[in-house]
Amino acid sequence: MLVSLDVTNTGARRGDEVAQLYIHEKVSLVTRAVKELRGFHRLSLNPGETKTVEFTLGPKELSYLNREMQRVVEAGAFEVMAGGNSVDLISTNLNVVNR
Amino acid sequence: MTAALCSCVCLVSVAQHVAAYRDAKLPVEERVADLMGRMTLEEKVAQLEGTWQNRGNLKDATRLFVDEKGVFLPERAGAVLKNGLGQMSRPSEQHGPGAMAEFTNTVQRWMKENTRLGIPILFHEECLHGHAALGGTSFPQAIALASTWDEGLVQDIFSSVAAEVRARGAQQCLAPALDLARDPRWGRTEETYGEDPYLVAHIGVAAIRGFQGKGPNIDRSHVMATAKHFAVHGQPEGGTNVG
Repeated sequence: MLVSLDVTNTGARRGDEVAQLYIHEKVSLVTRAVKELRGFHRLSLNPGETKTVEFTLGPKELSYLNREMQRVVEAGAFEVMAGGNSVDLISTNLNVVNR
Repeated sequence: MTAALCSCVCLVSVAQHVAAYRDAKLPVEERVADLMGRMTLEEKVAQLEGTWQNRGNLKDATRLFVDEKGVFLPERAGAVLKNGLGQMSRPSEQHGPGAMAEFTNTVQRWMKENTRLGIPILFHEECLHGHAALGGTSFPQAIALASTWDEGLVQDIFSSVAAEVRARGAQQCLAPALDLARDPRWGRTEETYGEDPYLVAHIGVAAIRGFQGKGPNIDRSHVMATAKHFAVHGQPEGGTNVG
């Protein structure tokens, strides 16, 4: 899954922003964190400038260690969140299915 | 003719007596095997030992080889260090940059010249957010460095710390702390790179690259990093440090 974000400097000064990507697995055999960071990118923007940041979410990024200490990806619903901090986030859903 | 022949024989004889472990041209594995074969049990154990010559912490005064002003005492070293020594903690104590360089050179020279195998010592220093020593440069605390989200900056900072420490004669830094901030009551939370394993891993790798340089070997302006703490020390019980 490719996550693409447009980051715009809406202020009047040049500044830095840190684009942050979090995931949350809504139902899992072992309770997972409410928000797990899976990518970040610090960028500098001029006033009015927009830059695009891309993150890739693959099996490694969605996996976690189960009770047997094996790294696994579980089927189910994930929430994918992005923003400039861990509170003010926009989100989308991702469903992982068994094939 | 006789004299020339004689000098030739002498040179050959000297070459044969340079121990393999001292020959930097040989493969590391070969040098290690040679050295291990020469070491006594006492010398091997001494390499596993470390000492902090701090009078407040070192209860056994017979282990001291530094006086109260931080001056190296060769006569004491002869009694305490004859089998060698693995590590010495914080040679920066009581020493500014120049004095520490002289101190580490003095101790190193003594170890090379006065122990049976001449194995150099390893000096380590505290470097959580800069060299924690007289005259050392202090950078913002670890949790603030992680809050920059800037791996390149963190790498540059610890590269600078490494150069300072190495110039003073130490080869290892006891940092970075890779503990997760699990409980804000822990009095060492500020030493961490925060609560998220992903950020801690990325900032931690940047710090280690800064300390150790590009590799594969560590050059003369870098030091060994120490990823810590062992045995999940940073998982406190009730917020205590060692409970």
